[in-house]
Amino acid sequence: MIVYNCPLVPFEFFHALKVPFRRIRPNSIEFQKLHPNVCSFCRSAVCSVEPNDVLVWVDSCDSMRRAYDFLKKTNRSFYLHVPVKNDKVVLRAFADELRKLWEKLKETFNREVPVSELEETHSWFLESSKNLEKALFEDPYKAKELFESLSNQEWIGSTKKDTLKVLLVGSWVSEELVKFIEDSGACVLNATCSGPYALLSDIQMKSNVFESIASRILSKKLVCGRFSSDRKLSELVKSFEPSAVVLHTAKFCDFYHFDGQILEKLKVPFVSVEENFSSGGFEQTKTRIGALLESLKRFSKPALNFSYFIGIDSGSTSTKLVAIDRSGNILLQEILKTGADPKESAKRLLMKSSQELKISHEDVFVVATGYGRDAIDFAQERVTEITCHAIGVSYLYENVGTIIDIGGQDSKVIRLEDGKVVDFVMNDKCAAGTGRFLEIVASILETPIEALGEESLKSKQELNISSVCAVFAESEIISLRSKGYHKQDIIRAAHEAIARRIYAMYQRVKGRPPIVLTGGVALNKGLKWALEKLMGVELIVPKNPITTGALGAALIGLQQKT
Amino acid sequence: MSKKSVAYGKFVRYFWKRPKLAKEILKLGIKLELARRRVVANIKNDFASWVDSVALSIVSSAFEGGKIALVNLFFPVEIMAGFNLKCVSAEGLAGMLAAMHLEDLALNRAEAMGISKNTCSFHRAGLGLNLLKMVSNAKVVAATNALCDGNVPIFKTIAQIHGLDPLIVDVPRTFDQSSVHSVSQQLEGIVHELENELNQSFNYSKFEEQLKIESEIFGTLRELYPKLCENPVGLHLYQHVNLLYALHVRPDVHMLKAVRALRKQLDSNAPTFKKRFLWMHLSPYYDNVLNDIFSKDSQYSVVASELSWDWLNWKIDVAHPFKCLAEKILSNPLLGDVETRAKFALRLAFDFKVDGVIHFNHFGCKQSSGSVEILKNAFDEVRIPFLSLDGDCVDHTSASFEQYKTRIQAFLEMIG
Repeated sequence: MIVYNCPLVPFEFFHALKVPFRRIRPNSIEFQKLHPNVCSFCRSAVCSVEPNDVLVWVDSCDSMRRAYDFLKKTNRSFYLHVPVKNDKVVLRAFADELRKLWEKLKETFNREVPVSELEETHSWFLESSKNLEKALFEDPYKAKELFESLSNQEWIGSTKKDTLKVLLVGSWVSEELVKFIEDSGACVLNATCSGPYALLSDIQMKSNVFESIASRILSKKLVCGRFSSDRKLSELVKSFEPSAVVLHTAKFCDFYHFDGQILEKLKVPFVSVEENFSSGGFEQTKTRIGALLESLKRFSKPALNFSYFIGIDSGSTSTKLVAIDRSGNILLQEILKTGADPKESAKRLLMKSSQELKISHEDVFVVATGYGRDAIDFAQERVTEITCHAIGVSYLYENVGTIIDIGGQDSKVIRLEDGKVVDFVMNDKCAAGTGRFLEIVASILETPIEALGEESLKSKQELNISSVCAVFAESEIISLRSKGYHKQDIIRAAHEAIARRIYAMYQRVKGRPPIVLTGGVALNKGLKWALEKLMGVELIVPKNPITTGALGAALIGLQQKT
Repeated sequence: MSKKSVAYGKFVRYFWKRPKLAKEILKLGIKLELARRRVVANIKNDFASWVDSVALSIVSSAFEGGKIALVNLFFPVEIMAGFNLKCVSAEGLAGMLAAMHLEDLALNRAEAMGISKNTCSFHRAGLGLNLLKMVSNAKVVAATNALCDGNVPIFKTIAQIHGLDPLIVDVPRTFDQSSVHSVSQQLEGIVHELENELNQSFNYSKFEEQLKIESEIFGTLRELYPKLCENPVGLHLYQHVNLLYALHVRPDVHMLKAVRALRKQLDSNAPTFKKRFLWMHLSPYYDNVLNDIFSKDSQYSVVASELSWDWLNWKIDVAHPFKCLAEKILSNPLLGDVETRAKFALRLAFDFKVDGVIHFNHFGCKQSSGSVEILKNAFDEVRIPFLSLDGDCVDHTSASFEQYKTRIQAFLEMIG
């Protein structure tokens, strides 16, 4: 079995030699020998290599090069350098490399295949990929069949058509992600390297088959991000006309972040997600994509069959509930610790509120949001907290430019225009810039978390905590404490460290005032002061900044279609 | 990388919201510091002082107003001499910001463009500085994918910022005739391209002159290599970074003075060190505890840095300049598989008689850190202690000085 790592391989060789072949794919384990700095897709996918596999390995990125250092020790392997540019000089050199690889593979598999047969295979490949391109827009089932026959790779994309169309670009995406988007009511064109677009080229067959194959690989319709030539995303967007684009990259993949600039110019709604294949799970990815898709849907008609609308925001630390009536009046706001079972906490809150308001379940329309929203199976609707915060805050204040929401485990900056989300960013999987970090500070300095704000405002000396990583910052705090600095000064420095992190996110979404600060941390006056000092603007803190997400969810219920 | 640099950075930061003024203050500070370093170099006339002066002159060119070529560390800068262009490396600019603790401003700017925090901070800061329009005199943007393929999209984007087409040299991973032919032809192609773009003839005599200077620089270092192995010159850790920048980006007449001074220095009394170390990959350029532990006056000394000797397999042939430059790129021991790199590092370790090896895993650098385990095994086999140290060379907020300290001290205690 030949195993390849990237669609930049000469597929024609495998077909002409009639040797079974397949592509590596990520799985639940990771290759521990590769340093954690290496691309997460690579760390995970190399584990799918079996001891008897013969590898045809393209140096598609530095991570793959380093993986090869290990794999060649255990497997019969062939390495192929694919140039990053496409001109006559490199094309000839690449064609020469391909010819050498062809000879080596023939020898390895003991196949006497004449060049004429390779030419025929190449011709078939070109013809089939042209048909594949046509089928992508007209007949996805046929496209699936053609793609699988050309690449021996499982189809990852939609076979259905829908009015809401999502284009996936960037690095390898999984079936799981495609399914999530499809479940959200959209169809997907996968133009990442796990999809059909990675096979399409724009060439005429040349007389020398190796130059022709080289040219096919270097002249992709949408070149890989490693190439020096421009990625023609605008042509793809023009032909597919997506409702939205998901720019998907693997952690430690350097190539695709730059697509964001092109997509911004094209003015197509898009979201960037970075996936860590090594860690499994993709809750943040789902939230980001979900928020994008929600921004394309309309929540316009009231749910006429119901008298009360309840929003439940199931956060990592606490679960919040807001109940409103048909006129949008807030009837009740409740908060409970989420604990180990988010569904149970939400249920208890709902029962409590029903009793207090003396209303029956049949009268209530429930919308769930927050990390635990999927667990709340009794909710009629689930919406991301991004959309809910936007709606909740816009209900309280007019013309809000930006929301900064700092929760227990994550923080978000959401930019609004006319009450609608136009851009947002969430912190990465790190406690820095979140309430969790303040809990650590409170614990080290033996100060109640509620008192941190007041204490820091008493500070008289400016200190610096430079690390943005919570773990490193913790060691800096311990070091400052052991040097005898006052705890008020250390707390202020911690607030300023969080403020810097949040401000970077604010800049990233090109935030603008008026700015509303929400989340549990919004009650911390010291952090608010640090943010205002850094940003040079006054922040608005709602009377109850913790429940704006739940309020937004309740309002979505009110606006929901019946 | 000193406390003075950090203090000056704080001063520059105060004016950052007025970019033109901030740039002028930055320019003035660099100009004054360069003048100081040149005076010191002329007075002391020793290797380290000249190296420090050359390293700063590289970043200084980005602010002086003359035409520059923005390049990556492994681009064959000799070509630009034929166009009378001074080369500035994006990595060097990132290092300069880090030395003043100003790197966050550039990193944040790149992040605002959508670049992930997991991308190499040299790249992010280099790009961010250009996005901030702090570099305005770039006439050429050029890079190779020799050691790092992340260079290609970064330099492509930097070129777009300056309204230029990027010049990219594709470097195969093996040193053979076909690769030498391909790279040398690409280099000749770049010369023709630049002649058209700059509307300027390539000055072959200046190009040859540059190669002759390098011939003497590298020839002298090669000749002094056995002596250096026995009696290494005392350098601060950060000076090893200065040295590798100077050798890669600006091997000019001042570097010639540096190696001539070195020859004289080696004839005098050499410092003695309690323990000797080989440093692999780069080291943090901001003020940090590693510079204290491996200072010039410490008993623990870094006697060789891998990237200061990566040209050792290269011989200059002025008669065949493009072929010779292709060979320079392709003979770099870090280009191919990790075994080649390990072999080279082992040679340095044995030649310099080191007591230990430290490999710095710069965050986001796949090519260097990726297969560090194989390097570790290679040193384990010959019973040379090896420390794999994680950190960030540019972003001082992504590092824990306490952790650096604990790990290095434990390593030193282990060696005894």
